[in-house]
Amino acid sequence: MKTFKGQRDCWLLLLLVLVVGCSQEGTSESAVNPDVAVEQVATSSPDSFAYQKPGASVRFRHDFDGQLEPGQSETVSLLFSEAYDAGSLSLSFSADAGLEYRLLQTPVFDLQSTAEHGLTIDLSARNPGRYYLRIFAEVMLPQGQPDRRVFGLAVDVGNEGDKAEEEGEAMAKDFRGEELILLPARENRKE
Amino acid sequence: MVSLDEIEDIDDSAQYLLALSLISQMHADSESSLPVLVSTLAIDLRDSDLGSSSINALDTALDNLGLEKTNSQLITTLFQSLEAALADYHEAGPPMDVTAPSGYSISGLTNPVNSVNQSEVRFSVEGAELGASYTYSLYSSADGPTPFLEGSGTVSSADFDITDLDLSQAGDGVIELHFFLSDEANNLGQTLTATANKSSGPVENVTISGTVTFDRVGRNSINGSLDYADIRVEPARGVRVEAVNSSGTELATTSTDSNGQYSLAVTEHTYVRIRVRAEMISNEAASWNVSVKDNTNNDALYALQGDLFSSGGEDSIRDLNAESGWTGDAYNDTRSAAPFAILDTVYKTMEKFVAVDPDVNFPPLKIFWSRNNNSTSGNKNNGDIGTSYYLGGSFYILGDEGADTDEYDEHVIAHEWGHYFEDRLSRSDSIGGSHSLDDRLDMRVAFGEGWGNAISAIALDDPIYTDSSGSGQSSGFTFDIEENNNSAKGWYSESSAQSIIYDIYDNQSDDADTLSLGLAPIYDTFIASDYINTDYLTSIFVFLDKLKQVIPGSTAGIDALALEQEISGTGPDGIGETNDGDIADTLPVYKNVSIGASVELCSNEQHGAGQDNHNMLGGRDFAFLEVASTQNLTITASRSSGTENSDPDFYIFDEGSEIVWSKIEETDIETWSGQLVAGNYVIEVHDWKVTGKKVNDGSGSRASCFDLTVTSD
Repeated sequence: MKTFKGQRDCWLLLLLVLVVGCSQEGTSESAVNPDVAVEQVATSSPDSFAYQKPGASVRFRHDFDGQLEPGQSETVSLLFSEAYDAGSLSLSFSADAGLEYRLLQTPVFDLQSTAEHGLTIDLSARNPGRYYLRIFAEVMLPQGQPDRRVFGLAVDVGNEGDKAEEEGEAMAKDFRGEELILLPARENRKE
Repeated sequence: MVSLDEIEDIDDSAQYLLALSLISQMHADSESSLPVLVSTLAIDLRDSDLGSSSINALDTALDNLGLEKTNSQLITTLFQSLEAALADYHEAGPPMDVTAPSGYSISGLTNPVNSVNQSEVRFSVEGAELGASYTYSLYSSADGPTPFLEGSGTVSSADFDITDLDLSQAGDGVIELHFFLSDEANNLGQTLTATANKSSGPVENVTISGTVTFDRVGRNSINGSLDYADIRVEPARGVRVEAVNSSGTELATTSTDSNGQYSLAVTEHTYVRIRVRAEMISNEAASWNVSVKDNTNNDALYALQGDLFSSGGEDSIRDLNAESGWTGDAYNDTRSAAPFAILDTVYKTMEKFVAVDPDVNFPPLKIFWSRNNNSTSGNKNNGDIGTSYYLGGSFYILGDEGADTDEYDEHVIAHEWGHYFEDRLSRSDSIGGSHSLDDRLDMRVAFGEGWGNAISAIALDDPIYTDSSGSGQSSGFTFDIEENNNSAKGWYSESSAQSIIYDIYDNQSDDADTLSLGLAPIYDTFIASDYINTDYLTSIFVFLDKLKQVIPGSTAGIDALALEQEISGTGPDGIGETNDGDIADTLPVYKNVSIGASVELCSNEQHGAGQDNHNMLGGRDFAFLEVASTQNLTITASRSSGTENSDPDFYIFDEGSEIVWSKIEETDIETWSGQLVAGNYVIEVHDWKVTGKKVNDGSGSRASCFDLTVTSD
């Protein structure tokens, strides 16, 4: 366990200065405390006060405002912090069909470093719509046991704000008016 | 020669296609005297340039026949003949359709018709000609030769049903159905008949029974992945089953038993379907109401639905299985099993508690799962839930195929259920947030998360926690809740909390564990009124202190487990604790402060600050205040040492409930004045620049201490 996160890399300092604002949803303290003087960035976690499932001790934030124009490419900074003394952090990615990404650095980090781990990535998509970039963080500890956590980044291309609702599933209302999603069953009949 | 040999109806909608046959006599080299079909040309009469299309068609035909295109006499003959044929065709007009619809059939006329089903009589049509008109007439032997009901329409699908025919006005007796098709050329098809019997007398019930099951995808306890080679069919226990009619009206309802079996009584000869709602409702001595809904689809409830069928005149069996939708390399089919897999994990978890308290009343629990629920934080209606989590009586579960799905990760489901239990049946003061086994956490978070991990092992009787992720759900991680050699040991460690609680429960003796007490004393501790109403914040200290009161004979064994995890503090306040987690200021756990006095509390980001690390050990410090009589007080937190330009804030808790959050924007000082009624209070002090930090500046260097002063006004 680290006792201090010490000096940061110079380039990272520059990166933080350039970070773009994006307020966080939910009822976290940052949303209600007026006397906060911190740089505003998007963090990729649910409500900070929700009771989350266990996972690798890695936090993720980025400077992407979530919007792209069709055909536009944007360089996005991804920042990962962790609380490990040793081991390595490896990142891998997958994107929805139609979302292109290009890593500009090798996504492997030595956890002995005390600074946040930064990575830049180019994002683009030709067609309007909502896309997701999945980020798989794997921490490999010296004793060989992996810890994992998955993060996501939503990319709205064009004016597509919200993802389409569930498609392809039959809907009905019961006699109380409650909406039902009708799932197919494999059914056997015996007389 | 070329002749217009045949006009073919390619189909009903393409009568403009002509088939022209080339007969062998036109072949100059033919040795045969008999006409032989050697090629067929398809000509589209809609083509505005018939000459061009004809040339192309002929050109192709000549190539196919190997004829010399330079044979000008032949070409001329061909064109002259074709032009003549086309002229004849246009002069004659479109071909006459003289073929009547045929090959259709009717079946399934409701029989018998009774007082229950007489307004929803139906029959099925198969093999009907598209675009044709259908006509049906119903006669009754009681009403003579005039049909009492007629209807008609246009065929848009070869197979279709005529439903909801109201025969209530027909007299009892033989019902006869007449049905025929007619096409656009007024060719009449055969009139088909079917009969049924109508009786308005009393009707009997029949029983429809069966078993509801779901596919459970296995878990790999080595790497945490899902194992699609190990898909087991398991009973869906305690779920609501309904018989509904063709319009969806509920006719009968019940719940499956512990084997997934159900039995419903419905009226004979009624059209019904079996519908299984993704909810478990019990109004017995042990009661609950658990449902699985889709947060990306208007919070609609999932329901498994079978086919519509006639209940018939005899009892019958309908078994329904919810399939995983896995087709070998992906979920290419509907993931019907997912809501029922989640419910069944909750069922087996609740079973553990019902076994120790048959009268337990579980408050309602809503679970939101969707295939859209993904690891992006944002709008939950879009599925951007960030991760699986519990909050405020509901939990959200990931379903993002190829990234992170949790419907079959039973430990994750049971973990979140543990938070629900602590929140709704006991008490949780946890401030939540991201966490891991190696973290040194705020004591409230450490205990809550350790409890969640422990109850997942208890519920499943499986201490190997698994959580799948990745492409094809083929990776993941595991940890052993039975493990005692944790990298972070102490009152601030979820690993320590889970080890202690699970060792109290399990039958396995290991290391310092000599206890095998089961769930009962743990449950009794959680629901004890003096646990729920303790003046202190929930932590491993409060839990162990109450547990030792519940089972005083096990005190030595409990203390041994605590000491193994380097927890030496006792009582609900952890007095005497010596493990400071490498931050000396964290001890004592509670600093006593009295009216008219001061005590120093500190806020330190040594174990992580910024970016959701609001919940780490050292960020928040605690004081305990006794107020003997109701009075007006002024409470001040003023920086006494450490990092300048701090922003001290504080909470005042009454039995864990926040009654004051003082957060005035003023550098190095925070002041609140107000009335506190007689009682005991916990005051939590923190530097907002530590706990509210959203950017990790990499320094980890903020560490400020504050004089907390309480004065009577």
